[in-house]
Order: sequence, then C-alpha cells, then structure tokens
Amino acid sequence: MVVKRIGATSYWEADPNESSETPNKVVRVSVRREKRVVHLARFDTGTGDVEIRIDRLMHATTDTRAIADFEDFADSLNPPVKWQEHFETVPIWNGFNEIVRAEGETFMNIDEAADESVTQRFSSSRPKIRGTDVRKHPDWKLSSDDYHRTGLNVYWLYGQGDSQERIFTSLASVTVRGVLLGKVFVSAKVEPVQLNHVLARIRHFASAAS
Amino acid sequence: MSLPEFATLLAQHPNDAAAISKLESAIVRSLQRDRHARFDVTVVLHHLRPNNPTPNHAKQLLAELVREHALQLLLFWECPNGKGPAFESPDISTFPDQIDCDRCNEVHWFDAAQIQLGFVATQRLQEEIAEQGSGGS
Repeated sequence: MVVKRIGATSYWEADPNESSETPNKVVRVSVRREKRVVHLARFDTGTGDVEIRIDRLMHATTDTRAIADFEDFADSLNPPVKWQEHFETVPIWNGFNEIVRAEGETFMNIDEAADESVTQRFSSSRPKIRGTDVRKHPDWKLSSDDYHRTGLNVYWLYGQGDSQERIFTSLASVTVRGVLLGKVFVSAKVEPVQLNHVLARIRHFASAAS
Repeated sequence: MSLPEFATLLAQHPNDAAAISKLESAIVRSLQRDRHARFDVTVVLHHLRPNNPTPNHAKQLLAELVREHALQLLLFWECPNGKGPAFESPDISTFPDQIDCDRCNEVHWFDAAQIQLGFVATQRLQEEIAEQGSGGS
C-alpha cells in the first residue's frame, strides 16, 4: 500500500545568469523556485516493512529541510498512523560494516572509520567514480568490526558489464523528536526498481548484522 | 629502460637525469598500483626531495610530461570541507555552479579558490606501463 502526497513547495536556487564575479565584488543571486514534490509512504503488508520517502529539491535539500518535510508528511498520516508509536526503526547503521565488506556490490570513494584510538579516513584523489575504490588501496585495513562508522557514503552497483550503473547513497542515523531513525539519501534520480534494490540491500545488511 | 616519454626528457635534459629517472620510477610505481592515480607539484616535490627540488622545477617536469602526452592536466574542485575532490574536468567552463558533494554530503557553490591543478596518466602511458608489467617489449 502506498500513500502518496503530491504538493508544491518552494526553495531557493542559484541563478547563474544573475550572479556575477569581478575582482572586487562577488554577487550571488538566488531565486525562489516552485516545484512539485511527491512524498510517499510505502507499507508492505506482507513483510511489515515501511518506508517514508521524502522528495528532494535537487541542490536545495538540506538535512534540516528533509527532516522538516519528513515530520510534516509523517504527521499527516495520522490518523490512523502515529509514526512515533507504530513504526519500529530498522537500525541500518548495524549493517554499515557488512556493506563495507560487500565489495562485490558496492563502490566507495571515501571511507571514514574509527576505533577507540584513532579515526582513519581514506578518500580517493579522483571524484565520484573516476578513481579506484579506496578499499583496494594496499593500506586500507578497515574491514574488521574493530572499526565503527557513524555514516556511510557508498555507490551501489546495479546491473552487469557496460550497462552497470552506480547508485550513490549516503547512509546515516538521524534523531527526530527523540526517535533514532535510519536515513538513506539518494542524490540522483533513479528508476524505482533501482531504488527498491538499494533499499532491499540496506535492509538485508541491517538484519544480517543484528 | 625508460618509457619513451621519459627517454625523450632524458635526452633533452641530460643534466636532470637523476630527477627524471627518479620521477619516472615514482610515477610508474604509483600507476602500477592504481592507474587512476593523480599527481601534482606536491607529489613530485615529495618524490624528488633528496635533491631539494624547487616548485618551479616540479612544474617544469610536469609540463613537459604533458607535452610528451604522458600526463594530462585536469582541474579538480576540492571539497571545502577537506574530504577530497567533488568534480574534475580539463575544461573550467564545464564546471557547474553548484554541486552535490558525495564526500561531505553538502551542496557547494563554485569557488575558484577550491580549484586545484592535477595530472593523471594518459591512456597511452597506462598502456605502456601495463605492457611493461606484463613483460612486453
């Protein structure tokens, strides 16, 4: 079952045609844009899985805005659903290390992990997917559970061969009204089947580790 | 035996043979480990440091390697939060005004102060090194 809310919202976006830069003056102009947004809640009555999907406003989405939109939409499901009482969080963060170890289905250009003594960051010198997976670096030794991660930026491999795509996600936990939630940020427009695949894999790793 | 591009440099700058050979070893070693490796003045200065090279010397060597089509110049938009590059291109006009940074998860406005020069191996150099590694002539 899907509950979809279609509405309009506004956000500020940089206007490159109005912005200008000279040696002595920088003018950055933002204009207010109206956009159609679609938030939806998916309820799988067979498995009991629930997802709240908040539409992003391209470059205008910040964590603060996303959380506000989430609260607004989730609250609107009441009645009958009270998200704070009726939903149980999937602890996606429990699966972070398993996802890192799943090199066959992921690509990482940055990895930051800590133990009780140090925090280590491996960050590729090439952007996005242009470089080599940081886990291939000979000095990367962060696969064990001695290390923990508070967030994970990972590309999910979808498909095979030349048509394989890499879907970027940023995973983290976020606290909303005292409730710890799992947040999955998807930066680019993806096909529903791709998104469903990614979310299913995240659930899988979370449950495998729990 | 030097790769062709470095052999050309050695022939043109015999007095700089030690630095050129050392740089070739460092570049080949890096590319054998990671063909996507990125080089810059800092990297060159590091590998040539026993000889106390100057930044201008490092820049000259890099420029000549570009001329010999061993390396190509790229512009990198570095995340202002220090997490690494968010974008690269050989052409500044292709840089977007804003970018979703997949390192720090923030949106960055274009800022020329965040642009750094870097050099990566050409396809030709990558193939030469791969062939060298497989024992080809």
